[in-house]
Amino acid sequence: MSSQLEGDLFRFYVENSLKATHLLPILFMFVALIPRMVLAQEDRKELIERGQYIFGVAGGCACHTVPKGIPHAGGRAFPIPFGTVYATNITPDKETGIGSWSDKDIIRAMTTGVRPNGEWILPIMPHEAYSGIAEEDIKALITYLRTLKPVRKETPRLKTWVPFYRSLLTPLWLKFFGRFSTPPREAPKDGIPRGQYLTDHVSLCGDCHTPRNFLGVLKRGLYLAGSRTGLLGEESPNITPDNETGLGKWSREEIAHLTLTGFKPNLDNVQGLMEEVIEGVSVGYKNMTRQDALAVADYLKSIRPIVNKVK
Amino acid sequence: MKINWSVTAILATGWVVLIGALPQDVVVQRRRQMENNNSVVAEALNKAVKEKNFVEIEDKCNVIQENMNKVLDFFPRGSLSKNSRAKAEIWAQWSEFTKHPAIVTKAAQDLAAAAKAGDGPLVEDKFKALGEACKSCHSSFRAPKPIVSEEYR
Repeated sequence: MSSQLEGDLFRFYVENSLKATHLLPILFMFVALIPRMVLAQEDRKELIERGQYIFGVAGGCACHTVPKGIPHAGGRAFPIPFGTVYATNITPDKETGIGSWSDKDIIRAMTTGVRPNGEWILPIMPHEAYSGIAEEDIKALITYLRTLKPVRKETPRLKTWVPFYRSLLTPLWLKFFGRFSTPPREAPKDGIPRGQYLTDHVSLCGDCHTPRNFLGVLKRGLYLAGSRTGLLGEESPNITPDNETGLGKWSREEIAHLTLTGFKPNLDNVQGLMEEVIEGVSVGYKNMTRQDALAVADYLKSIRPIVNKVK
Repeated sequence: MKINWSVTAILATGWVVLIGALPQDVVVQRRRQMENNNSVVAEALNKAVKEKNFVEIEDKCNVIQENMNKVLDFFPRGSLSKNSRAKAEIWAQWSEFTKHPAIVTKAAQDLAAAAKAGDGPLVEDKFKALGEACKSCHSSFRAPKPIVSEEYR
């Protein structure tokens, strides 16, 4: 072998072994990190699954879907005092949805009613109730929301003849009538505390099943006692355990059965909004575990019975 | 021929009242029938299923079948009413609507057969199936409880 060739070979060997030497730590780190990456992937998968579960227990966020329309893309009309408001697009579209919002932005909007641009969200979006959602649950929910299919769809603007409805009246309304909660880090896991947590802060039964005054304020003395003109004007029954006008004669299994299937003990089925939140768009109350449905039932059976004949 | 205008007026008024009254009467009867189906028959059936009272189950299934035999009589053309949850689709899709009494009848027969056989788990399954049969008609042809405006449906 010529000395030139030997030299070239030697140089090749030295340069590449030096490169290999540099590469070794990188390769080692990569190999060491693979299990962590796999675990992180699994953690994320678990988080998404939990988020999807919370989404279902929240009724599949059915308010954000026009019936038979594009899932979660908003546009659904809700009557409010002196006007009409439209539910927003909660898909991760960057222009018209929440795709460009940070996790903090979403939490702030959901639990205080303020958008990233400072705009107030009308309290028909139940951010007061959501303010009590556990930190672990809202984190999972947001992770799940980011997996939804982005849909480009503008939300129609608020229709009202009242000036400063959003910018002035909404914060004033919240100041005088808003009731916010401090969220727990973790949600209660079982029993009546779990049922209360789900009813009050996730499934939001009170939003439909409690009557409101002309300003849209919940009549808290009649909490869960039913409403002749609930959300969207639909009649919502009394779900307190009063024997004559509420669910007093229902067993806990029958209450849980209705929550999961929409069927009443008399074989009749719920319709309208209740049917929508049970079915959900992709997931709904029907996807609740039996244990959670029974926890809700146990809570409803434990609260003060209120006489309120809705029909 | 002399026309007795008084008699004619009375007959005409009576006819108008009759025409106006007929749909309302049938609407009231229809609502009573459906409420009776639920509150009396189905509740009793639910109780019987829980108690495994197979004789009562068979009896109530027979009542349901009898009701289904005459249910279409409660939906004459022109009986759409804001006091009723019956949707206009009933008459627009009449051939589809008329299939449902037979579906419910079949489900009631299956439940009665399960009760006659004394098969507890099968009775529970067939009871659920009866609920689904009732629901299949409600979903297409019964409106949710009254809402404020079409815009929000």
